[in-house]
Amino acid sequence: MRGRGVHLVLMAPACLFVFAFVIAPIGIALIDSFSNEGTWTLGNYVHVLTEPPYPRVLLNTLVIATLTTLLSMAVAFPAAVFVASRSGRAVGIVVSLLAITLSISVLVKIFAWQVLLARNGLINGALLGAGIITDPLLMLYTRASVVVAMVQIMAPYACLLMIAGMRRIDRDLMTAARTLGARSLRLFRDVYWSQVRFCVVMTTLIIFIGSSGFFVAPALVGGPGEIMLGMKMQSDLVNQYESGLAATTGILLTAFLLAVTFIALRLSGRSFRNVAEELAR
Amino acid sequence: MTTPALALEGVTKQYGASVALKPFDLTIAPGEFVTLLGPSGSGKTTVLGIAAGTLVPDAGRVLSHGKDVTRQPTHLRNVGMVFQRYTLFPNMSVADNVAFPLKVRKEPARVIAEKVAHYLDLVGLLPLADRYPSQVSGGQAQRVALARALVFEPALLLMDEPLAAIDRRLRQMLQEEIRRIQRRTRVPTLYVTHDQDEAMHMSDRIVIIRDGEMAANGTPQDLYWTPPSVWAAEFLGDANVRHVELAAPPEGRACAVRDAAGRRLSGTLHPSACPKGRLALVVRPEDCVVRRQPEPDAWPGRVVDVSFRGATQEVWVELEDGWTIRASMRAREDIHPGSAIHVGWPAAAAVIVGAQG
Amino acid sequence: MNRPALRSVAGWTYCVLLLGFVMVPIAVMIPASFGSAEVLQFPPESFSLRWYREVLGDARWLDSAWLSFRLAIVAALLATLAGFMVAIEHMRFGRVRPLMRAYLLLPLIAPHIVLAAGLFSMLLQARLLGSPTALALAQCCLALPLAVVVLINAVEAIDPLLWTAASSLGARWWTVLLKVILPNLWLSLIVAALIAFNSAWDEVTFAVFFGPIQTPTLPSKMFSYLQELINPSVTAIATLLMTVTIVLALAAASIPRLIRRGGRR
Repeated sequence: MRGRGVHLVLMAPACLFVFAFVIAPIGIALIDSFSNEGTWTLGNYVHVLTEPPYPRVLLNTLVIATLTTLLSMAVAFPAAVFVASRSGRAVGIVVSLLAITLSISVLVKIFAWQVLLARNGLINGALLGAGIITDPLLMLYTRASVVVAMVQIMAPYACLLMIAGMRRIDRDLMTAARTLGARSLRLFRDVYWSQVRFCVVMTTLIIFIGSSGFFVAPALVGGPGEIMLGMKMQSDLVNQYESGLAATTGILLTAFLLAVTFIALRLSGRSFRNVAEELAR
Repeated sequence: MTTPALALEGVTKQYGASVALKPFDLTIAPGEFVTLLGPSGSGKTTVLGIAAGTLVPDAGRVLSHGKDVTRQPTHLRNVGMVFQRYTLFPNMSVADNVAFPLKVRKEPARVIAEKVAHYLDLVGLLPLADRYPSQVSGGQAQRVALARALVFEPALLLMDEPLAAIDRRLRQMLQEEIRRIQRRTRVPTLYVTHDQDEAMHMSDRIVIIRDGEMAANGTPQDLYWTPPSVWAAEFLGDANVRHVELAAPPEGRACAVRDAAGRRLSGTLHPSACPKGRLALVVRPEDCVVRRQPEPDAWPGRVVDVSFRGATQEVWVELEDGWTIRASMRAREDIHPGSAIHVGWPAAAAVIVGAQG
Repeated sequence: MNRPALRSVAGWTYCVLLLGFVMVPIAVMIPASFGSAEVLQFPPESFSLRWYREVLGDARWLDSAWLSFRLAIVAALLATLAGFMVAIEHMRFGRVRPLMRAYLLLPLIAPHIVLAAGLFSMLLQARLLGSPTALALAQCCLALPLAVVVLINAVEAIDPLLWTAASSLGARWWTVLLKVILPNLWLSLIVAALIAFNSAWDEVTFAVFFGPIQTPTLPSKMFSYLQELINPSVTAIATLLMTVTIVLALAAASIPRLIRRGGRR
């Protein structure tokens, strides 16, 4: 086992997989988005940015993804801070329960919300049965139901990612700062926050990227007004074989996410290289 | 002359822009125990890798019993290796670890059983044959590794700081044991270490390497009593060093020199020293003699410090011109800081070497 | 109560609430699947296995499950094999560089709908839309980063000198792999395969965009069911799916503990 040949053989399958199913599709989508019936054109972009329903779909995606990200982080951050500062059996139990929840199919989770929130679902049934309401409430197929379902799916990710990141911070630094007489607020800002900031930014980014590309939840618990990109792309492709517009929305989404990532990293003073190193751990 | 068990001829190695090994020669005679001694980063590991076949030198040849093996991969070299980390296969018992090289060579089961028992007995671990690596101590693990490296009667044994991770007392025991086993099996051995004491205890011959070059080569006694350079003298132990110049043309080896204070000293010129160049005189503290009475070739001074070492004590004597000489003497000798005394040494004990390096 | 204790109680209460929010909705479905009425009831008025009988007696559901199973097996095996090769490179020839590792993690981060859209037009041109093989390979790519992460972590626990030691003892590379590396790595290989299997088994987006249509994969079929009105038979399927997932997850989670115990042997 010597020489460059061996490296090539060992790395080739993995690299080819990623190339064929990540790089190539994005490349093809890029080409598709700039071409229409064999000619190069910006028509697809003009169409997507001006013709209904696309602008609305883009905006919806943005709003729902932002709401989901903010809520997921708000829900997960306190739990992550607390769990990361503890040790013992209970921590293991919380982390494993979160991990098990993560591994359960997204479809099952979405279906559970359908069962709970439907017009004839469990919550309406219980409320009607108890005589609290007389007409069933409309809960499913609203923006709120999409966001709640997506937060339920994303919060465990956010929590686990942040716990993993926060576990790596140097607790001795906190103790050292305390012995030097730092007060709580100062301690939090200067010592704790500076150490966990990068991990929180990364988590927020990952959750935002995940939420904006979400396909299943909005398709199954969102109303007709809550169409997100994924659904529109799927119906364009599968029903109309319209790959140009789907590719264009996909490229717009990718470009937007790249821009957000870049800005977030600039604001937190890190480079893509740091991200690569962070991801590699 | 017999064919050496291992010969490196002008091997070099470069990593990018940094030169790890300048043209380097090394021979190991059959049955010889050679220690490669050097500070960290001196190129020891590179030499070992080339000898083992895990590295291919950029230039030069590697000969094993006269056969060119420069480009032969490790598994064909027939070298036993012992590392600083124990590297026992955790999924195999002690006996299976030792049997591994024999099984790879498809030896008959009867031979395997015999040899495994013999070599485990040699390292004193026959009773632990059925244990797993996680159930034996560090010292025991290293003995298993040694048995495993010897069981296939390799053409060469390579040891890379095998005792560095082991605590001091046990390390001394294992030094004795490795030496005993090497003498019995007569396996040519290249032992790499940065520990001077270890090198001196164990070796037939020591090769000192520094910045990818051979800095000294000789028996432990030769290198200790007549070091080829100031650096080698200080690396191998404590030394009093004084810059000097020739006082008279050397007569054979014996030579008279003068230091900066004009003091006339005498010593033996080392063969590697160039009499025209800058010179230094080297004397081991053990050779310095401390007297209360004045004597010829002894200089008056004052004791500035005394440090108790058990069997001996170290005495620092400051001469009138400010030169501080370190002397080693019997601990029972009653001596205190402040005493006025005389210090000198037999002329044969002083070595004159080149002052460069 | 003193302040640290109060903080502790508040913290754990918050964690329990969070776990409740992410777990209870799922748990509610299980009793519902054992009801018998045409409409969902909680708690169900009578216990019955009606929906399970209906689902398990339906050849279309079983065909979908069998297809999903085969695809997931292929994806798991290929992803584990490719991940294993990366891990060997990592162990044998020095660390795989962070940028390369980030590249291998791309399938995890890139939005799947974008990949699905690009793959759709690629497969359309290649006339492979609906091909189970194409879907299996695509899902394998999504599972690959998971296998890579698991196996790189696993080989980092193995001393790379074991390889040199084995070579010096006369072993060729395949002997080293077979006799030294695999015996110390097989539990992690199983973990990697389980995780990769689960990822492919649950994959929805690719399956819906360009998976087989006549007999869709289980998640794809479930997706189209869920787009319609709620049908209690889906509670049974969801419960079965969830059971499979949890069993796989528990198996994958308990193996590292086995490894640690093995180390103390």
